[in-house]
Amino acid sequence: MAWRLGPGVLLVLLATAAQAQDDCTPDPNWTAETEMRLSVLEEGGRQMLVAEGVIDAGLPARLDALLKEHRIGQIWLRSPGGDARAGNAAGRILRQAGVETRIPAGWACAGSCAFLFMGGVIRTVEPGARVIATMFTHTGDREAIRQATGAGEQATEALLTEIARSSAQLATEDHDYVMRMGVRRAVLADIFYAQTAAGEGGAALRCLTAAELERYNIVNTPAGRSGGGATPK
Amino acid sequence: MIRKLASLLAGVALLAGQAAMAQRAQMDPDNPTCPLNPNVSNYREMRFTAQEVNGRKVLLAEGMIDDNLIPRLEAALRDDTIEEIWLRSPGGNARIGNQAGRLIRATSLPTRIPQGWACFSACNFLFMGGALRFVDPGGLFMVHMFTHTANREAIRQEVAQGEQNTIGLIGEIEQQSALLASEDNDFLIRMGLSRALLTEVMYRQSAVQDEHNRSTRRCLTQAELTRYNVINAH
Repeated sequence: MAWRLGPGVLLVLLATAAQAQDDCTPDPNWTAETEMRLSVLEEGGRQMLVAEGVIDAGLPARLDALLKEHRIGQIWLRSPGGDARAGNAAGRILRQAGVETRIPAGWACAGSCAFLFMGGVIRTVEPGARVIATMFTHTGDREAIRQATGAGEQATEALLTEIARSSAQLATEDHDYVMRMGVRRAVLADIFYAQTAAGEGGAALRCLTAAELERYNIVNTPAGRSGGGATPK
Repeated sequence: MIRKLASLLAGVALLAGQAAMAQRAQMDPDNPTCPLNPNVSNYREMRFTAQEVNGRKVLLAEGMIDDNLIPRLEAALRDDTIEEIWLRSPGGNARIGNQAGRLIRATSLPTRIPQGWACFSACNFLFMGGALRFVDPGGLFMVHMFTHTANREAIRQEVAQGEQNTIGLIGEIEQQSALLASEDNDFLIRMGLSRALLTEVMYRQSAVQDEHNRSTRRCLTQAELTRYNVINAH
């Protein structure tokens, strides 16, 4: 049986608090929403969007519809990440709409949320906010892996080949995405792909420093600049 | 080994003609875009031979891309009368192929896959190093994706130790694939090729057979070579 990565085996860039490294943040504030919730706020005559929770496959469509309905100037993000391709697709929608992205003080944006953040035409990370890198993984569907390995050597080999192929494809898509967003592509090999996604101790989380955020052009405004609006509670 | 001009011309022409005919005659049923026996040379280590062809000094690069290729290529490239590099190879060490490609680009020399010759796998990256790149009609630029499944015993052992080890193995494969793809992307950008070659062709062609798909290589047409800027000269 040839294994293909169906909808059940998601490419995820999802972080969990228990796996945070000691030098990162022990209790990242990325909400427990299992589907990204989008809320529109009025702030000094300007409409803001607050995006909170796991990046799900339906996010690009919801975001697109909302941006057509409202004149959103800026989006505030907190999320543990989620569907890798949905994060990139949603980031492209933000860029096309010319929306700014911001991670307010105390909030965390991990995994595919970091890619979503890169979609902002102006990108701000406030002091005390976290951008957390993780490696993508296909290991979300343990049952599919169990079935392949249980079906013998050839099925296992086919699964591993398919995972390598899919990983190479996604890495190439990531390169395309970060280059289009004006972020230095070296951040992928230097930081994101240098993390372990599915090791014995679970996924590794890597908080980017302020210097790294600037070096790779992940932020393109002076650190701490709020871009307007109050810090949400 | 140095050959006389006359014997070279005759030899290369004969070789190319015979191989081209053979390639046309017998296509590979498992890999319908490629001949059954592509002429990749069977030297176990790549040999570099400077020859004069039609009044031009050509460096013939033939055989497997081995771990110790770089110093030999450097030595061969010290001959500043070389005007072009001709390639036939079954591939070999991917990172060495990449390194050799960069070395070739630094010299600004053209690369060519002559009629009847084939350049496969890691050889692709050596070829891309050419500032001007020619694939003559009847020459083959043959690709597949990198693989991690060559060491079956290691895979068997990891899987036998249970689910957690299998998950760890998958994590390693994901990470190594992403890093290798990053190197491929970087290389193609620097060499001026379209990265769509990776997503549309290379990464769609498995290097290993499975029970449903026996294909392990893909030969590009002249139109594809042009579309992805693999060739930029005729």
